[in-house]
Amino acid sequence: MFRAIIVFCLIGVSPAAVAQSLFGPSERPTLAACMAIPENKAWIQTVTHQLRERAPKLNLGRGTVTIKFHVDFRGHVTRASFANYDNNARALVAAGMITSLKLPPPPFDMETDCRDFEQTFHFH
Amino acid sequence: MKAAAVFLAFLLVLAQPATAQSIFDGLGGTGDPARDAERAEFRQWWQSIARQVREHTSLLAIGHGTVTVHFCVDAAGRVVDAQVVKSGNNEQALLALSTISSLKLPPPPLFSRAAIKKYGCYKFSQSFHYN
Repeated sequence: MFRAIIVFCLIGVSPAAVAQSLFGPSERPTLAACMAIPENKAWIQTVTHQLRERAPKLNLGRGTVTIKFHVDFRGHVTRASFANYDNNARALVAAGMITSLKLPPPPFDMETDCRDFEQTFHFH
Repeated sequence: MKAAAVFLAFLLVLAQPATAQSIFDGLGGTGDPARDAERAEFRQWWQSIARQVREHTSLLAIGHGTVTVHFCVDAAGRVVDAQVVKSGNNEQALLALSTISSLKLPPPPLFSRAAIKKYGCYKFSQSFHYN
């Protein structure tokens, strides 16, 4: 029943709506900028590590699901939404993986924007 | 996508190699240090499975219901077979199966591998209670 599975990549920090300010358009940090701080890098690696650990081995056919999500200051996944999916079963399994993350709180000085992620799951 | 607190899990061993009863069992030991050590090792392995199931369980709110999955772990610690034997709905069954198939288990204790050779694998039953 089990077959291999899922390849996935954490695209990184997702650019969401950019708020205009009196000082001009705000610039969202890139993933590289977020990971330039060692504490941030270690925490983001925890996210990717946990996602790898949670990859199921169900054979659900080929397809891609992309989910955007945010992690709050406590390490809880919030504001998760589908950016792309082509099949309900795959979408449910991907959403299950994202909502199963048990993350430690991010570094206290980590920018909020650095906690926005876009995760793509490639099912084979 | 709405997430809510979700579930309770119960892990049972379905098939274990036969173990003889001992008058020391009630005291928490068999009186045989080697056998006690083996039991402790097995308990540790079993607890690692239960811990992973807890950690890998999704917090998606997909209604009330109970799903029971029977699965088998081979000598290398791989989940080699899993079957939903009871489920409330398809979504719950899929998520439960996904959780079980995502387990990355350490190999079972050395002493129990002989039993696995004999029985094929260790059978477990996992129930998920979605709230």
